[in-house]
Amino acid sequence: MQMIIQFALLGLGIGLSGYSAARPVEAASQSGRISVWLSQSGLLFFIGIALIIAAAVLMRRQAAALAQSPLEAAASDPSELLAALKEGAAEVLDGLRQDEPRTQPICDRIDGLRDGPIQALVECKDSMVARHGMLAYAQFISEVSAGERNLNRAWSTLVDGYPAEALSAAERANERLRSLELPTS
Amino acid sequence: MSEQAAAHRPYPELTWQALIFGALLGVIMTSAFVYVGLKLGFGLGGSTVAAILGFVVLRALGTGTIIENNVAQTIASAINVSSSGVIFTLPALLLLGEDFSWAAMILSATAGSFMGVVLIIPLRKQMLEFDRLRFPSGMAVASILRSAGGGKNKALLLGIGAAISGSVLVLIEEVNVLPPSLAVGDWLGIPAYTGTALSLSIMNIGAGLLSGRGGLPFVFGGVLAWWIIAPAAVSSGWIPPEITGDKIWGELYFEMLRPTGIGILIGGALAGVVAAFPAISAAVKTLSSAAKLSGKGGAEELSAKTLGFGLSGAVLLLYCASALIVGPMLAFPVALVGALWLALAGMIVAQATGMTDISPLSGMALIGVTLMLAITGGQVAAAVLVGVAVCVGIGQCADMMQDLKTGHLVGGIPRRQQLAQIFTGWLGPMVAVGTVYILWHRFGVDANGVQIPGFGPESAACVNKASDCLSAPQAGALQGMIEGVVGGNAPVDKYLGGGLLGLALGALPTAGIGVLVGLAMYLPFEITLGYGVGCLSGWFLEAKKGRAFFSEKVVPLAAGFIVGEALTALVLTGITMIAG
Repeated sequence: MQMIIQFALLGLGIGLSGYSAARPVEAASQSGRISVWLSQSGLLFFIGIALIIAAAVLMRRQAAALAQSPLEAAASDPSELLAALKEGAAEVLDGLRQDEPRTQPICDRIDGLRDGPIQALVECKDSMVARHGMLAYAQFISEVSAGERNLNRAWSTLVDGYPAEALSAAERANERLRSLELPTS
Repeated sequence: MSEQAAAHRPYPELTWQALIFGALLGVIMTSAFVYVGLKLGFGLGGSTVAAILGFVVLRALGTGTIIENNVAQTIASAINVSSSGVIFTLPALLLLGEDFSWAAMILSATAGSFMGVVLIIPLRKQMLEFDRLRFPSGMAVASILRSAGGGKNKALLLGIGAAISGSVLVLIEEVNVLPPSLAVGDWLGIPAYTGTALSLSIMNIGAGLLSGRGGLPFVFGGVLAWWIIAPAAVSSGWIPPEITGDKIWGELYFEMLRPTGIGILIGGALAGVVAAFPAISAAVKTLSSAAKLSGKGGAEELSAKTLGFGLSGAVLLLYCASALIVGPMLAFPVALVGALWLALAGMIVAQATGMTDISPLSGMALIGVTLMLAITGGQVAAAVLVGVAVCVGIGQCADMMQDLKTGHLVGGIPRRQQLAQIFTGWLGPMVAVGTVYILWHRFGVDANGVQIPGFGPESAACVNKASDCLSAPQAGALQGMIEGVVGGNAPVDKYLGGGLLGLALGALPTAGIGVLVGLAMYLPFEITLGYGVGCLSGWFLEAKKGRAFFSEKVVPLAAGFIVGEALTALVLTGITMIAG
């Protein structure tokens, strides 16, 4: 119900203000265009803007309440996701340390990490930012992304037939991820 | 070489082969696409072509790894991106008969090119890592690059997608058995002035598929603009009585919704800058901390200091170019406001491209030119000079970010891609401006020593309906806009109203809504609807079938949709040009 009210307010607000903003205006000068527009459409336009702001306030309140709900109640627990990512990255590294690394299983494992724990960690952004702030989230996700990019590099270089380069990329990924902790307030 | 030695050989990435191949291909594409743009009125993207040709050429040279190929396509598209920026702006000046310095134009375009790249690099972390924008074309290029090792199924899906979208384009453009769009509105009894049609561009649907749920506000904006505001405007009697039938759509679009959409885009982006300030600040801080790791092999990004030097140099270059046209005093505000506008417009275009794959380049150039006309007191040459820099620069912003997205997906080192783009991007402006110069002067002077126009509707080739007529339709559009602004008819009220609306949308907790709603008003509804079909399908498939299915099946198919139409359009354009 709350969501319906929010979207109704937002739709009505954009509709009213968009309609008023698009109104044709005839005036002799550029500044004249603005004053004519304000006198003809100003009231309706600002009512629309007020509705948008009201919708934004309600949406922000709801988002804040959701973000403060326990992380464990969310679909995925970030600490478990991070542990799964670290474990997967270590498995990739072990696979590449074999005398003859098996390309397809390693590539599939990397794809699985990208679509699994990494994607799920990205989806925890709003709650992490609400709890720990943007800078802490940025530092955390930067490390995850650097690890992800190095895993992607291991994928590409292994497919190209350069297992030594793939191994160094996987080592770099593990370096970035191994000591990584979830942001703390 | 023994097997063990082969396994330990250095991995080719930023190689001379990639540099030379990318630069050559970029130069060829730039001059060809300038000609195409002056003739047909649209620009073409070069990343997909470069990625496919890269496999053939670089592998023939004995390397051609995935990441080396990514560097080559980064260079080729960095050069080629200037063609769109130049053909939209510079020819308008020639058509208006203004005197100007060609050297100033090259300097301005080069300044724009450098500025675009260095301005957007600090936002890589914010857009790609924090906000995770999808950049559908960047994902498509990554799918091409990874196709060799992605397994047979993915390669097959990529091929099927490309075949479908290419075939549909041929059936529309060449065989004429399919219309460019389905008249859905007529079937549902919706008035024609709403432009309710479904574009059959499969590339558009593919971009929507890759954007998924994130692109839905764009569709919502289109629905609101064309199904709510347009009928309300008509029933309020805003359409002059002499405008009837099909012309009502044009009146609604060009006079009301499009300028309001431009305003919303700008307001939405300004609000976005404020809302994203903590993220941008965090991105710059993490950039600085990454630079400190350089001694330990951590220099994966260009440092903020290097980018600062690059930006200062680019602003100085724009100042020099402006000084050649308006003198040293007025050149200060021109260069400063031009650089500030380029930064904001570059963010808008990169964000819009990241979320939807659609770039509102012409609208941003128009605002840049309008601002400059106001600052210089109506000096058209100075205004277009900055317009050239803005257009080239914002093209670079979108291209760099798209290439970095591809790089992230294939594991490229951002610093190498950034260096490749910075060190080769300057070639594009020289080639694009040079090609315009040659084409403008191709018929020489008449008996009185007066220059005969090489292109435009008044050129001899177009008057005589010759096969080498270059009508320069995009430049004609900008020419019309400049004449409107100089004549005092700029829709400033709609820019202001739209801007305030965009700012208000910035109060919403989800970022980018203002940009998406503005973009939806800025575009015809048929594009929005087609894209929306893709978004809804992508969202549904991801929710129902899961992320793994989406990644394994939907991404390569949608990438194929984008690649197939782009390549087929290029081939069809080539055939049209050869056939005259």
